[in-house]
Amino acid sequence: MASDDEFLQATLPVLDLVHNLARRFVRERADAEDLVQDTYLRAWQAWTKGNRPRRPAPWLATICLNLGRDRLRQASLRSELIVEPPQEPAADIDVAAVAIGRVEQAQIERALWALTEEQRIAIALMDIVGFTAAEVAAITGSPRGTVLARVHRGRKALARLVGEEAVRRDP
Amino acid sequence: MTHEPEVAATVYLAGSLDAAERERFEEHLLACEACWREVQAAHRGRGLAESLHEVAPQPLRERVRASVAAASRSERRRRRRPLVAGVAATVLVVVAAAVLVAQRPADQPQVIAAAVAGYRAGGLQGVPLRSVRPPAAGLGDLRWQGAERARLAGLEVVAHDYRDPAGRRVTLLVAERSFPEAVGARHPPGAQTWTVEVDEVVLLCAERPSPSLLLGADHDVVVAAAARLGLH
Repeated sequence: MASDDEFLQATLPVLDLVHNLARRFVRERADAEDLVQDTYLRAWQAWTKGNRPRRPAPWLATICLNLGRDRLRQASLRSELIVEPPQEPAADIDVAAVAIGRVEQAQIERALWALTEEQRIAIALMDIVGFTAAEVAAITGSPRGTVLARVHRGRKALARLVGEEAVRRDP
Repeated sequence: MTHEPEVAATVYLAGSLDAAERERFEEHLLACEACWREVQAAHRGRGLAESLHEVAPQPLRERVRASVAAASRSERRRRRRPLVAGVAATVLVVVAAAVLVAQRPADQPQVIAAAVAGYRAGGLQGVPLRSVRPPAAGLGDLRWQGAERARLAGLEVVAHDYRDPAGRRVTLLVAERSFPEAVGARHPPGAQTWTVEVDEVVLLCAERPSPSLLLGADHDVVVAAAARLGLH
C-alpha cells in the first residue's frame, strides 16, 4: 500500500473533526476549507518524515490550531485596514419550519464568534468535537484549570448571548 | 457556606469531584440559587455548542484526498531524480530526445497545441468577458484576473486567468464539449483526469464538473489548483 494511502486511512476518519475545528478557527467557510487542506498537507509532510502519531485526532487538531492561529493573526491585521459593517441579526428571516434549525444555528454561530478567541477555541475543542479537558490542555498548551475556566465562561456567555438575541428577535 | 459559585460549578461539571463531594455539591445546588444558575447556564451553553457539530462536505473529502495524492506524487518524483542522474548520459539523451519528439506541439491535437501556444503567449487574444463569474475567486495564492472567450481550432472556450503575486500563472479553459486527449497523456490510477507536459507547460484535463483544461508552468501548482476547483 502506498504511503499516502496509509496516511489517508489513518487520518481521513477524523476529517469531520478537523473540519469542525477549522470552521471555528477561521471565520469564512472557504478559508476553513483551505485550512483543512493545509492541515492535511502539513500532516502529510510530517508523516513522510516518519512522524506516525498513535492517535491522529489530537495531532491533526494541534496542527490545525497552529495554522489557524497564524491565519487569525493575518486576518486581524487585515481587518485593521478594512472596517466591515457590524453584522446585525437578520430581522426578516423566514421562520418556516425547515428554516428554524438553520436560523438557530446561525445565531449560535454568531454568538460563538462574540466570545474571546481562547474561549471559542476551548469550546470548539471540548464541546464541538469532544476532546477531554486534559487533551485540550495538551493541544493548546494551557493548564487544565485554565481550559476548564475558559470553557465554563464561554458556555455561560454563549447561553446568555443566544438568549439575548432570541429576545431581540422575538420580544 | 462561603464559596465561589463559578469555581464550584466548573469543578463539578468537569467531573473532578469524587462521589462523596459530588453528592454534597448536588445537595448544595438545591439550596443555592447562585450555583444552580451557574450550572444551568453552563449546561445550556454546552448544548448550544454541541449542536454546531456538522459533517464535513464530500467535496472537501475529495479535495483533501487529491491534494495529498498530488503531494505524494511530487515527493516520489523528487526522490527519483537523483537515481536518474546516475543513469548513463547517452541513455538520458536518447530518452530526452524521444520525449521531446513525442511531445512537440505539432504532434499534438490542434486544440491542445493552440492551448499551449496561447498559454505561452500570455493569453488567447479572445474577447474579454465582463460579467462572467469566476469559478473560484482564488486558488491558494493565485487570484482570478479575468476571463475571455476564444476559439481553439474550432473549439469554443472560456479562459479564466489566475495569477499570484510572484507572477505564477494558471489558465483554466472551460469548454462545452470534451478536449481531445494529448499525445503522451498520463492517467493517474482511479482518476478520470489526464496530465501531460508539452513545451514546458503542464496540462491537466478533467471532464467534470464541465470539460476543463488547466495549464500552468508548475505541476504541483496545477494539481493543487485542480483540487481546489474540484476538477475530476
